[in-house]
Amino acid sequence: MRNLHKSFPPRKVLRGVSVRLYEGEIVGLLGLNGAGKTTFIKLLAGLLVPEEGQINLLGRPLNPATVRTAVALMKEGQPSFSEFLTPRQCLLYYGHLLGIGNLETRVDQALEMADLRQFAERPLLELSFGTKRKTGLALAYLKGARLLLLDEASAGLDVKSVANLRSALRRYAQAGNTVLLTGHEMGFMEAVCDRVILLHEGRVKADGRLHELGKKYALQQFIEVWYEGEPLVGEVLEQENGLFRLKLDLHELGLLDGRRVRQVKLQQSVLEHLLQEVDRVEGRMA
Amino acid sequence: MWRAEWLRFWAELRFYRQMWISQLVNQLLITAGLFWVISLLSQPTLSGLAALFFWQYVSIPLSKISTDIWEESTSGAFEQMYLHAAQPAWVLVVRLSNYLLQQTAVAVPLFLAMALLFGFSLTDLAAYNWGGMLLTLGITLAGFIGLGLAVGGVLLIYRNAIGYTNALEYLLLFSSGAVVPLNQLPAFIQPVAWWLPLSLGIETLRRLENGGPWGLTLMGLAVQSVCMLALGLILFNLCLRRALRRGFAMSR
Repeated sequence: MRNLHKSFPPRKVLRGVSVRLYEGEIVGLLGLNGAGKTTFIKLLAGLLVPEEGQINLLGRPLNPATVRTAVALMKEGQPSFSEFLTPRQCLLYYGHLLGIGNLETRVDQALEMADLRQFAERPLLELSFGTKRKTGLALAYLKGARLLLLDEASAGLDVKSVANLRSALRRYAQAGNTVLLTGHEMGFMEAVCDRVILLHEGRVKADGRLHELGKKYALQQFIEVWYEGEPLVGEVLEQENGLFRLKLDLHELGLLDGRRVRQVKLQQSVLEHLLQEVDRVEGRMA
Repeated sequence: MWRAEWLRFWAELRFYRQMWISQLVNQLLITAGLFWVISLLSQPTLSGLAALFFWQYVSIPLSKISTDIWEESTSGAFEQMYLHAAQPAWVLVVRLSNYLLQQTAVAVPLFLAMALLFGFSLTDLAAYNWGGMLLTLGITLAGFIGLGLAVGGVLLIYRNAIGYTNALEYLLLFSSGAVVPLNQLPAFIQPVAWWLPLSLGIETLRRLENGGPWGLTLMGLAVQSVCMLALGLILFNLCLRRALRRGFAMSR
């Protein structure tokens, strides 16, 4: 994708986004609400056309025929399929639309790969949101999509479903496909993504592997402490009724008066800090 | 595409079987009620009864296409369909054809039963110009498919347009001669009423039964239907292109 611009007047949503995706990687698209993530995903899926810029897929400019065979999409908060269909019927339906040969066998394989066999004959309306997501994944397997787009990948999923989705996406990428996902669950994104792209107000503010970004933005794990009284060490993040929320390095914890410490929390999400850091630098600290 | 839609049709029919039954009861009540009122006001005719069925039948493209687009846009299924079908308009037409087959299987026995119930004899039914009626029905349907695609297209970019679909159906019922003959409508409606998409079809039906000259009316209907079909296709594709620029209405 090169120099993508998209606006919904009067708002400019994307302002010159250039990104390259590679085979076999899982890429997380991050950003605050309104950063342009969903618009970006829709552009890649061909559901929107850019005002400026170019999208190439498999070495050719994106066109409806390429999208039909090479891109699979699961959108935010929607089942994406008619819910009276069962997962098997869904796959057969889209398989027939695409004219896929040897369809019955391939549908069986896709259901197997997406771990959907036990739910294959039940209408989607009766299935959990996670299982509906898996139907999208099975469709991607069925059509041999090279690019899987997942908007708000882990939203509405329970712990087990998240773990299942994580391993399913990993298997999908290991087969040489590319996954691009958005999400606000930073733990999930960190666990699953090989690389992250951070959008801020329609521009790419960071792009790289987690450890690279951690170094680049001097991100590190830190401890957050609620402390009673004026602290001698650490950075005060906020203050409320005599309680101070502090950001500390691990070694600084021992310098505090243990009797005044009310709560200690290890901040683990590099991505969360990355988002905050970029937002802070851009003058919009959340 | 036919196989895909056939599969979808059966799945939908099985899943919503209770709803189909209630729709059938609705259809029966509306048609019987309206025809009873009409027969109180004037001499009941077979073409009058046929006109009510005709209205219900040709309105299907309008209601089916718009409901499908509305529901599928809400669930995201329309966008999936767009991503997997070379011609979304064609998919909608194929889906509609399956639905029309099902409605035919319901409407024909219902029409015959009601005709007998309202006192028409088997001789009346046998003497009816069924060939002319089917031809008129086919041509009117083509125009209404165009109208359905036009309204469906508008729904892709204006989500509130769904509210006007029903209004349009009833406007056609009461202003196209299905209930009240065109020459008995208020004077200010009459010039417009003649050009409504259903009027020429209903008028042809009446002339078929009365033995009046119907060739010219049918020709006018054919021209009107071809224009509506072409305009519907053009408008649908224009709206789809606009939706790709601005985003689909239900997912903005």
